[in-house]
Amino acid sequence: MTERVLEKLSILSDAAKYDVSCASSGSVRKNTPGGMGNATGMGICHSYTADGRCVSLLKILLTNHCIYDCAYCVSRKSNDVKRAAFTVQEVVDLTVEFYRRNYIEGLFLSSGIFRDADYTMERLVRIARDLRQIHRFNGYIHLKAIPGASEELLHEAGMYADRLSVNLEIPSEMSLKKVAPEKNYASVYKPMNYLKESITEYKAEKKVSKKAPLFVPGGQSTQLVVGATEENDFQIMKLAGNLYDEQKLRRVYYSGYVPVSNDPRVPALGSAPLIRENRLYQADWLLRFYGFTVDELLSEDYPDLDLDLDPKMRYALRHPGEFPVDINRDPYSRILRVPGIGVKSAKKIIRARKFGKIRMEQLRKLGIAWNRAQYFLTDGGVPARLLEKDPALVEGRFLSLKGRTDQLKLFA
Amino acid sequence: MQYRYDGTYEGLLTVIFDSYANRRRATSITTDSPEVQLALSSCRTTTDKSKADRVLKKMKEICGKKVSLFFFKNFLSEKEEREMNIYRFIQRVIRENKNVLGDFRDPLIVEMQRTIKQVDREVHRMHAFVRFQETTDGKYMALIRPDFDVVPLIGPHFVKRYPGFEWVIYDIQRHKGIHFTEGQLVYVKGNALMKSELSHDDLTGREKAIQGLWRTYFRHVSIGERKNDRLHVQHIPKRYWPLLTEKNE
Repeated sequence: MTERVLEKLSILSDAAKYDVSCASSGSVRKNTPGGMGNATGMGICHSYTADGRCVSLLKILLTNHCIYDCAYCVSRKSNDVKRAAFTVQEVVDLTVEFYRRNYIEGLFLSSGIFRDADYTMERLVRIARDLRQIHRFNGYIHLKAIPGASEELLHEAGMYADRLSVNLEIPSEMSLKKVAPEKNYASVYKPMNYLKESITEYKAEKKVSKKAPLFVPGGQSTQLVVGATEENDFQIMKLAGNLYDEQKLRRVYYSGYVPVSNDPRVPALGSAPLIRENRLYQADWLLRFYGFTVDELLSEDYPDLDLDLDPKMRYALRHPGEFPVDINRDPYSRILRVPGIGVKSAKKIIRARKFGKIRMEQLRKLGIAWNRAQYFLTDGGVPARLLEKDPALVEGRFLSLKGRTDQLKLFA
Repeated sequence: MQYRYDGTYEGLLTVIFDSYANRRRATSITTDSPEVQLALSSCRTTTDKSKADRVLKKMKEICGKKVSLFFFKNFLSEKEEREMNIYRFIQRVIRENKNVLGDFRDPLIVEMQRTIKQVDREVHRMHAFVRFQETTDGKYMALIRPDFDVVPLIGPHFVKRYPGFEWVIYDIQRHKGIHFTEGQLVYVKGNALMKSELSHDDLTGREKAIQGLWRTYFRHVSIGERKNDRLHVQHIPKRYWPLLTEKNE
């Protein structure tokens, strides 16, 4: 490892960081005799960047040379940045040495497209193959599936990787064509579909025989860039819902657009839309873990998530008739809908009430966000406060209290 | 009655066994230390593993297997009230003769479950924040300083992950650690071989080079436009910084 690798690492981690995916969870891979590493299913963040994001994987590009010119991308052909390319061996060595020291859970390897899709994909696959076969590395590997790569290569990638992802990037095809003239949705959906079907087949096989090989056990993910084009939250969440339901994706990532470009095809934003990004993740969680549908959260009339209120709170205030929820009688699915009550708290409530009636003051101490939950609950005796009279009153009260604590935080 | 024990987990369970055997309820359970006054009614219990096992066996019969980790983690939390909490929990189980682990209406159980969550989080942090350094004597050394005494809990994770080389994880505050050598995990205490500090000369050349690469990587993955110190510190509290390679140039 030399100065040259150091410089490459600077350039190629810089270029990779705008892909926000960093999960190392959702895949279980046991260590093998004489091997190193495993994937536990939990995922571990080994460090956090100065911007507070999880560092779980060595996230780098193989190269930032690229034949494409996508306006939102820092590595676009027309952008004047330093270029570099790792060799296969350099990436393998970095991964093994970092992993051995417990810096990372594994590798997240992406790449600019050099020469053509197959040529690029072939090198990504070779790195994964060397790691698995020569080094018997059983840590986590996330590879980009390069649109346009052959099915043979995608299949081989799937035999080594824990997760594969193809990024849609721009949440509508019309906008995509404007900012990335060489791309279209069909080219992205093609590998996604192929992988979806293969994953389903291997899963079925695994059910019959434990010896069936792993094939992308962590599933597929994708990323949507938010704020670079004009799509509203309703369109974005509709797309995400479809990706979960139809494409069976495990994760959709939302990346608030960081202006990496003075390209006239994308807007010159002052700063990344971080609050909006956060609201989209909250809505995404509501879809995946809380049994909400997109149409319950957003509609043509309410096409954007509220920046002041989290989407669950907003939903509750818009549907006062569904509350209060009775913590002693209502089913889990209804308790889960109460703002301020998460999956863990809801499960605690279900467990605890088997022992007898839960009273409000006991509930307060159980670890729920009382500042939000209080308006939407009853224990059978005490009625919910304020809500049935006027949801606007609750909203006003909540926002003014929230404003006060936000201010305190600001001056703390 | 006031009980005293030797500070071990088995010692604590022995005390609880004796309190039932002698039918003398505990009003306090404390560890031996010079500062503890020899109160008249306090009796120093002799640790007896078979008594401890009987307590655990009984509890597992009523509450299921999970209860032993529930006790052990509460014990490792080193919280002042840990002994009496475990004792009170056992009292309730014996009294009602049922598994009450899930009764979150009871403040005692809420508190003990919260402790479990805290200890688990510390274990998870150690899985994340351990940084092995290759030393000139061919070992990989990691120094830690966790909030709770989690060394007894973190071994299995690292054994599964790194069975191919010799490594040590050492708690520099509690002077104890685990040493993985020749396929065996060995617990070490105040061992002369262990160091509470690693100097530049202890490290191999390759180690220094890799650390340089890791720091470079860490610097470059951050997105300047999104800088958020509050969030950063929330995820990696400052007390962990001194032992994290990437936080030290």
